[in-house]
Amino acid sequence: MNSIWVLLWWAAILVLGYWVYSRHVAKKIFEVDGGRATPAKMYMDGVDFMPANKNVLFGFQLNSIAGAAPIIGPIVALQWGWAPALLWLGLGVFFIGWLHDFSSAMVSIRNDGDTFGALSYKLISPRARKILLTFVYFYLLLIATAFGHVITSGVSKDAALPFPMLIIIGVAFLVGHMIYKARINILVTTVVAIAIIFASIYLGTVWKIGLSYTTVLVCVLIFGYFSSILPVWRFIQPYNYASVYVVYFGIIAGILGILIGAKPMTLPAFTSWSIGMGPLWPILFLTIACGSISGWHSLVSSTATSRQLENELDVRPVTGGAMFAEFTISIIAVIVCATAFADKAAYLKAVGNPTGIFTAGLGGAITSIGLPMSYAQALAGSMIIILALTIVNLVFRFMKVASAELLGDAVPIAKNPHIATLVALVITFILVKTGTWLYVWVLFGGANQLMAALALLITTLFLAQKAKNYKVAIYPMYFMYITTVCGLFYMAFFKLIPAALKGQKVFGNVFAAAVAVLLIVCALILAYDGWKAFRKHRAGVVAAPLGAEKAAA
Amino acid sequence: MLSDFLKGLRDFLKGLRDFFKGLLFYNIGQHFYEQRRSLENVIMLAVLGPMIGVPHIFRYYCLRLLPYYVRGFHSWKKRMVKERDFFDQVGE
Repeated sequence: MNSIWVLLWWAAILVLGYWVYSRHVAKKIFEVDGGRATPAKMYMDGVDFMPANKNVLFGFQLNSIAGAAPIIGPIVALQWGWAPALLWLGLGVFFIGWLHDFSSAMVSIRNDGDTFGALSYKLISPRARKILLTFVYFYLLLIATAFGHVITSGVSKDAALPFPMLIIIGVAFLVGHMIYKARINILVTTVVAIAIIFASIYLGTVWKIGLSYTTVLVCVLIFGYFSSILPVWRFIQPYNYASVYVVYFGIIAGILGILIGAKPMTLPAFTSWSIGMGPLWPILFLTIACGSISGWHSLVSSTATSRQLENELDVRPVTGGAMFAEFTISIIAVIVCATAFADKAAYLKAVGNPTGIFTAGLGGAITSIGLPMSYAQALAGSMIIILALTIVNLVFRFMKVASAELLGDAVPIAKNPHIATLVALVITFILVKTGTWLYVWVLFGGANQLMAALALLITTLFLAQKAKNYKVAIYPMYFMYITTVCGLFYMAFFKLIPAALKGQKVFGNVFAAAVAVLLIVCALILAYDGWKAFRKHRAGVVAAPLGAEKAAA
Repeated sequence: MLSDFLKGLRDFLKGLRDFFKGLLFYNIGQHFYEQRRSLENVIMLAVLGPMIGVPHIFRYYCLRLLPYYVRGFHSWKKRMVKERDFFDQVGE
């Protein structure tokens, strides 16, 4: 089948999902009201609460949610064939994905811009906040591990990538200095940064550097340490700013390449109901997280975005629109990878290194617009490594804060940023080195989807509390919750433990299984508390637990 | 007809410019605001300190500055008493 037909599926989902279904839900169920004052207007402080234009916020939301996951998830899921991947991407974003992002922002807006910590305390139970934080810490650990491997395997297996990556990291420090210290015009800074980065990608294809897996991993963790410890302006922010040009150039070049090249899908549409990673249900639904539905988005929507939307009518274009844009990135990933390999055997051989698959796929598409293959592949490889490194840099910073908040009162040393960061780095190093990446990826997807289910639980409770039709949120929540808990249970007891018992990567697999069990326990406690709260809200017994006003203040 | 088209084109280009502003520069602008606010918090603490039991260090200068900062007192008080948790930091 020609890949152009896939774009028709994408267009149908986009038109019906965004312009028909989401509009109906926003109007009839959430009753968005352009006349209602948003927290950005009510509590305007010039920083956290600040009304902003919807187009600006759309760009900001897209930048915050779109990382490497919407690309890598579909690449791994192609093992079941491209048809299940496309179906789940389309139906997932249509019924659940956009709703999750939109409702997270709406619930926060209708609750004075409260974050999920305060909302879980208020709507679920007082202990929910602490449990959610525990859940999030291990969720972050899985993110760091999954993406740590993506970077490490990609850079160690492709000798063209170490040079540009080192230069891009150097450029990040340079950009930070130029913008914040030397106060040089941002346009001049941008031109200099772009010129150096694109030249370094070319030079990487000439000056190849071979690095071992462990060396790259240690380098990644050292950068993780600095990004956690240094002020945001010194490294993380300039890195994100300077590297985003490579990412969007790659995406635009890929889209043009697909349209010009119009290659046929060479991988099979469907392979089997069950593959080495597990059965299609529930594992495929965990493997593809971002692009379809992702819990990470609820954290972004309910904090930064919800406090800056100036009008409730903007919530759907900003959050839902960004979700459909991320869905588009996933569709591109499916097309470029399903058209790049001659047959299934060649694809399966490369699946342990998703960077390699994406490099081959997007590189092939970009050559259609006239760039040479070696440069196109280096550009695609740099793009995916940049996206993964962006996430890893942020994750260690968040882990540091989460551990200080979780353990800081009982173990004061956890408040020390160096100690907290080092602990996070050491755990990540152990799990990357000893774990099985494909299983860890599924666990990451499971944690991400479970986070989404918990966000939908909060939405359900909010709708029940307001006596609105909560069915639009409760059925997706049931589906996501059951699927992810079953998926995590399957991975822990049917994959990780049996693999450890056979003597395969014993420590890493047992460790990963323990994390999966911990996530399930957290999710079960939250579901129990959520169920009790739901019954109360539905009966109109209580609006909020004792002391909720204090949490919201 | 042509004027409608030109207006639509102008709106589209403005939307596109705003989108790229959000995609590329919004974080940087926000960070400048945060830096400014953290400095303002320190000044506010010095100027309005006696209200929360912190004695004035430089009474003369604090009294000179008081009229400028008193109008920001309400939002400063809210920021100071607001509980901030992990999830707030994700948004930053």
